[in-house]
Parts: sequence; structure tokens; C-alpha cells
Amino acid sequence: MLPDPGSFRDPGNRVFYDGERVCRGLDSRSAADWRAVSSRGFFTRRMAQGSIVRTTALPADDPALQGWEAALVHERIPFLSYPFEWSCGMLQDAALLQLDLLLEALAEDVSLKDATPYNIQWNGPAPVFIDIPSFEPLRPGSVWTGYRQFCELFLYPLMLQAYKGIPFRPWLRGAIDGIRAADCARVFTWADLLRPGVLKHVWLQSRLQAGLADSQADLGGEIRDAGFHKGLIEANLRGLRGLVAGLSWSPAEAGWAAYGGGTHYSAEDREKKTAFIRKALGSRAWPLAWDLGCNTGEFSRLAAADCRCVVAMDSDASVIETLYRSLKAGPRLPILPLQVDFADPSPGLGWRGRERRALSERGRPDLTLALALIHHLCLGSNVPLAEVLDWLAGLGGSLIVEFVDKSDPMARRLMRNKGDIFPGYSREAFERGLETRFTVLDRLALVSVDRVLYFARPRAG
Amino acid sequence: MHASRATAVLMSVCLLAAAAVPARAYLDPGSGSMMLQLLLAGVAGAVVLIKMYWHRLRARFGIRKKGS
Repeated sequence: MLPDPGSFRDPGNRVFYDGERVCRGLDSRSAADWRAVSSRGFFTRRMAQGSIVRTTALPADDPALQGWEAALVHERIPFLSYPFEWSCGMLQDAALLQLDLLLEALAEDVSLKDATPYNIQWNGPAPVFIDIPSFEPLRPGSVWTGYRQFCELFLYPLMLQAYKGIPFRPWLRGAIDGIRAADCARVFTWADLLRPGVLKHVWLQSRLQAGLADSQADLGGEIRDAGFHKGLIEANLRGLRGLVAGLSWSPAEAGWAAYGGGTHYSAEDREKKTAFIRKALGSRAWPLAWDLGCNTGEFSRLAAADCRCVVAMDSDASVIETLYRSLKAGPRLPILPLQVDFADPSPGLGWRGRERRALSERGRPDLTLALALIHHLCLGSNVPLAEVLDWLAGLGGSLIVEFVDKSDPMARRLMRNKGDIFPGYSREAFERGLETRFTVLDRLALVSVDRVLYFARPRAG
Repeated sequence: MHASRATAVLMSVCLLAAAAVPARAYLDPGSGSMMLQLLLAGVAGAVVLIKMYWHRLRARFGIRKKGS
């Protein structure tokens, strides 16, 4: 039994792993909440739809109970991700799911004790609420405990993006509990107070928090005694839902987004490249694939036919937003789009650096696609070629990789202001390094561009 | 005019909230954020706010609620 290092904030329950099973131990109070909530209409309906993670109770004699009053077993999420890796549209949809679940729960006298995007994961492009013990029977007269957290982790990041064009990801990555009202208020000007939600949810909240910072009052009790009721929460939720749904932004013209259009490949080379990748993909089943530098997601879609989950990653925010929107609109594919800068991938964060896991600790890929990526790392971010190959080999899976020579127009573009300061970057050096770390099974040199594709599997031992 | 009235309301809300004892939740909802939920709720929230004042006033004069 392996406890999840990130599951400790609510002392009433804890996630642990029993082999492949994802379990959750419940104390007596959480177990009572589970029994009260799990048969409600909204809960069973949402679980059947897949927007609440499929969950069953373990039998009382299951050894996994280990002293807990009860334990649950959750359907495994294919790959964990965090809000600082999501596109704006993903955070917006997660926020709407959070609000809708609470609205539906309140109608059946159930509440949610928190409101954090870390309670939401993804099955392909569909958000899934995973923290079952967050649901508890509504205590009459209680306020919405998660309101402040909702603002800090959902609303303010979305507002900053929509109103000011400030990307929320670096901020959320640097602040595990989100953006404080006072900090958010400093970003907005007086004119911004006219924008929907800024005066109420940002300015007023920051003033009240400052004014009541030293309050010793039992405000919750006083509010309850004065007749607070769930209708007031519902009114706030409906207002927030309209506000969040109305926030919009358009993905900026992505510098590399046109890349996937194939303008610099000949039609014949494009076909050959696709056939090469299709053949490699079809050579066996790949439970988990990473598509690094996925761009439009063309090859992620190809891989999705042979993989249980494809994590499509790109450092370009607009690329990930566009991909998310197209996946959401199309037939359901097991593709999870994430914004990741490979020269600065998500590290371990939070308590002891283990509360939110580093990207590489959330599941190693059986197959990595690195198509037209390596020149970005070597020529764009100056990472030595050998280190890039070490990193790819360290992921542990097979590899479909495309090497782009310095003479390629895209490579030249990366070097235009630097000059050629990369004597170690060459096809020969790449092949030598690749063959040291992998067994090359197949290769294809393209004709219309200076690029070579390789399919390789890791060397044993 | 409007700004000073808003400040006065805010000040009185803050003063009202400054006295003793906690509730039971693993997440701190924040005193300011709890009070804001009343202000966001329009007339219905204002009614709750006025009742809070009333209870506080009665408590100051030692008048307890029936049954307490």
C-alpha cells in the first residue's frame, strides 16, 4: 500500500495505491458522507456520464482497508495533469464542471467542501471530478466554504487571461494555492472595475479580506443564525457560472502552428512520413504515448488508434488551446493536450516537493514521438544534443524521432539571431548518440527537406 | 459620495465581524470571503446582514435568543 504524497489536505481521507488499484481510505465521518451522498440522483447520473470518477466501495473485509472505516476504489485516470499545464479553455471547462456539480448537489442538499482544479482530471478532453469525499451533506445555514478557493484557483487565473492577456500558468505553477485577491486586485486598473466580476469578486473581496484579517468572530455561526440559506449560494453560483462562461480569448496566431500544415514538405514526403509513423505505431500496442511538440495534434490522432492514452504536449499555449477545442468538438479520442516547455518541464511542487508530481513521475511513456522537436531544444534552448538523447532514453520507451538538419528553414529560423554556435549538432552526431542509447529499427530520409525519421527501441539494460 | 458610502458599509461590515469562536472545515473559507457572500446575494443577503447586526446588538445588551 503506497500512500499518495499529495493527498493529505483533508485529514478525513487519503488516497493510496494497492498495486494497480487507486484506493481511498475514509474515516468515520467521510464514510458517513459517502453513504449519504453516493445514492443521490445527481451523483449516480454524473458518475454514469463519466464527469465524476467511477468509484465503488471496497468490501469491509478487503485487506486494503488498513484501519480505515471504509475504503473506495476509483477508476484509474490515464495520466495526471495540473492546471498550470492546461489551456485556458480546459481551466474554464473545469471551472464550469465545478460550479455545475455544486449547483446540482445543492438541489439535493449536498455541498462541496472545496473548489480546487486539482480535484479535476481528464479522460481525453473530458474533465472528470475525482475527489469524492469533497461531497458532504449540506449543513443548513452554512456558507460556501470553497468560494475563496474557487476565486483563487479558477476565477482569477481566467480573468487575468481574458481581461489582461496575462498567462495564468506561470503564476499557478509558482503558487500552489492560487492567486490571492489582493495580488489580483493590484493587476487591475480602476477602469477594469467596470469589467464583469472585477469589482465584486476581486476588489471587494480583497478589501474585506484585509479588513477582517484579524477577526476572531465565529462568522460562520453568526451568518447561520441570521438565516443564511442555500438559495444565496445558488444565486452566487449562477452569477459565477455566467461570468466564467462569458470569459473569452482567442488563441494567438501561433508561430509554429502553421508548421503542421505541411507547407515545406512535398506532398510525397508528407505521405511517406505519415506511412512511416503509422507502420511504427502498428508494430505493437502502446498503452501510454507522449507526443512531444504535438503542434496541431495530427500525429497524436494517428497514435490514438493504437494507444490507450496519448499525452499531446507543446510549449505553445495557442497550439494547445486550438487542439483542445478541436478534440472537444470532434469524436472522443484518448488524447490529453498539455502545455509543457520541455526545456523547463513541470517539477515536483508543494509539500516536500511531492504534493504535485513532476511530469516524469506521473507515468513513463511506452512510446515517445519527438517529431521536429530536437532542433527546438538544441538550437532554440541551447540544450546539448547528448543531453536531449539522454533525456529521451531516460523516459524508457520506444521512440519515433525526426531529426532536422541545420540547413532546414525552420532550424535556420531558430539560429537567425544567434548564428551557428552549435558545432556538435549534426546528423552524424545524432545518429551516433541515438545508436548508443537505442536500437534503430527503421529509418526514412525525406527528400524535399533535410530531415530523417527514426523508429527505435531502448537498448536492453 | 458613493465611494464614501461604500467605504462606510465596508467598515461597518468589518467591525461587525470583529468578535470570537471557529467552525469545522478543513479549508479556511476566509472571513472576508464569507462576508462577501452576503453582499453578493443582493436583498436576501442584506436581510441576513441586518439580522446579524440585530443579533449582535441584542447580545451586547445581554438579550439572548429564545431557547438559548
